[in-house]
Amino acid sequence: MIQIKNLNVTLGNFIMKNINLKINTGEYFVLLGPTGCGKTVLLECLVGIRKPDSGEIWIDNENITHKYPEERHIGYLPQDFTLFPNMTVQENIEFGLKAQKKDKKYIQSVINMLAESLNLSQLLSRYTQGLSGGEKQRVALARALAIEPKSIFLDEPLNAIDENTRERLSYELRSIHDKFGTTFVHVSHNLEEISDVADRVGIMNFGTLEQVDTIQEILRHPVNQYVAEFTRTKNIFPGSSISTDDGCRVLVNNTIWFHTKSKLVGNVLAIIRPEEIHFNKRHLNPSELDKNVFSGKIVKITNKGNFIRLEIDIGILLTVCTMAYIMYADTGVQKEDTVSVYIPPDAVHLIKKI
Amino acid sequence: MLYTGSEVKHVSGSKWFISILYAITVLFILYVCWLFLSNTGHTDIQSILQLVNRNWFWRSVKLSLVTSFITTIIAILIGIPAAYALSRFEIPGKTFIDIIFASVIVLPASSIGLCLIVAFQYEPVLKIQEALGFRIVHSLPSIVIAQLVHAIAFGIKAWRVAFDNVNPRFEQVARTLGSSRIRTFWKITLPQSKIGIIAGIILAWTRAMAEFGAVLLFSSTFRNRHISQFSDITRFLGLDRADILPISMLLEIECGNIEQGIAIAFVLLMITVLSVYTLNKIGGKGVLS
Repeated sequence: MIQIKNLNVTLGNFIMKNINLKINTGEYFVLLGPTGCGKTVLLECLVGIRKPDSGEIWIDNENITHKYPEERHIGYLPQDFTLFPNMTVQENIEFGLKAQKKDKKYIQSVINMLAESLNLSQLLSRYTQGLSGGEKQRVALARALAIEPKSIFLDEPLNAIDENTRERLSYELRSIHDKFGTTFVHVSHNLEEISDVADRVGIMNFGTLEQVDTIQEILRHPVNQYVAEFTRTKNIFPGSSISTDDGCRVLVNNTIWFHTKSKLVGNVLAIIRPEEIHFNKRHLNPSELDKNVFSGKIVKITNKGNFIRLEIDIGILLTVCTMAYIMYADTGVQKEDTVSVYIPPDAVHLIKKI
Repeated sequence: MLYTGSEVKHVSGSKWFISILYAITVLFILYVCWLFLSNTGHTDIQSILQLVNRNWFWRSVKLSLVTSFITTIIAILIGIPAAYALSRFEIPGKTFIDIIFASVIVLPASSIGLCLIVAFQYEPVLKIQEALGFRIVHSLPSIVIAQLVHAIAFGIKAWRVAFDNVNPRFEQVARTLGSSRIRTFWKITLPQSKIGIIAGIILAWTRAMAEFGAVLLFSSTFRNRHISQFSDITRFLGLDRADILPISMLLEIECGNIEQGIAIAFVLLMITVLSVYTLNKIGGKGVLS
């Protein structure tokens, strides 16, 4: 287990304050945030190439805060994998083992095992310059895994890779993680890149850790407006809520009442994920679906390539996502059409308005 | 795309500008070639044959090679660790150190020679020398000390560029794999910076070979000194009553042997051209900028 206790780092104007985090053994954990939020600084503290001002870092009940990188027994994959260009693939993989003065027989057995597991047997005698992005990733992981590290830290490993390859490589990262069971801590600014691989995600803002949870929980229940906006929740409406028997009613824009299962009374922000809003060309009776049924007009249709985004005016402007274009086509709706909109009460999440 | 009149004018203006730049460059190249050829033109094969038949010439060559070799070794031993430290660590007063090295590079060699005389004639330093039984100023080892100042400054400049060009991430990754700082330096940093390191060695050696002003002031000349003034080892190595090549060139011209002086200048010119050619060949031409 990795434990970060009250970690503080100051770098010029940038202050990372009071970071507390627990990462479970064998977990695939992702630190997610925009460029400049401090996620790489935090990773560098974990790796040992940056010293924190105060606080502690523990790995498996050992305080490693003041240990040098070579004493931490970890793996580190920076952007573009940083394979040693003056060495072959095999020399790269055995570098850490030779540093630890392991005997030749052991080194060879580890190389054979990793080459077979990560499909590198054909590449061992090659230099690293001509390798593809996927091959580089596997060599870098093999090099890190060779020393049987307690954890592997990946700093935006898929940043400079095209979108199609990125999806394949992120899947490959997850399958290698599952095969070896090592704790992975992956830094990224790309929500799509990590949504398939992460067990849990930590959302970072400028020097603070805003929320730590599973990706589904973060998407559905963001703790604040920053997390909601960063995870691309378009529907964030200020309003005031009153308590009901089964949750709350929120008055938005003085005209619309949303029913919700959240229980937060007062000045709030009502947050609704675009993909959780249903719409239908057929007129729905509010009694048909209990509550949160509205009539609205489609004011904008945007083809985003993978999906279609609609904007529907129900008195306030709602952003709604459908799935693939073909599924949208099945609905038969067009711009200016009047549709029924249904928002399940548990899709309306309330947070305190600050 | 439609072009307006102003854009056409701009393009033709660029042509004039580029033509002027080319003309200035060609004129400068012609000037340098003229300098080189004028020297070569005044040197005939007979002068060079006469030179190579002179005993003092070979002693000069030997002394130049031995002193420049020792200077280069010392420059490597001091300069490479210093350049690495300057490239990698946040040393207090780093800007001041940079200014010092940059100043040494542009400082006239004769000023360096004078500074060395004053420094080594300074009373406490002089007393240490007397206690140890030798005097540095005007001795053979003083040649190395005089050559070292410029050689090490040029070397450090080249080696620092070489280390700056190695991404520190490679070293950080190596260390997370359990490699110590020293092993990381040997296995990761040095191999990746080897072209720059070799270029720096060539540059330091060439600078040591060509050092003139500092050696003239700090070491003076040896050709006319009595043989008894040289140690047994110096005599055994055949380095007695010899001056380094640039000093020999001056002495020959002063004695009226203009052809011999020009022949030595030609030899030095060839050494420099060969060194710079080697630098370019190995890909280290960036260190000259």
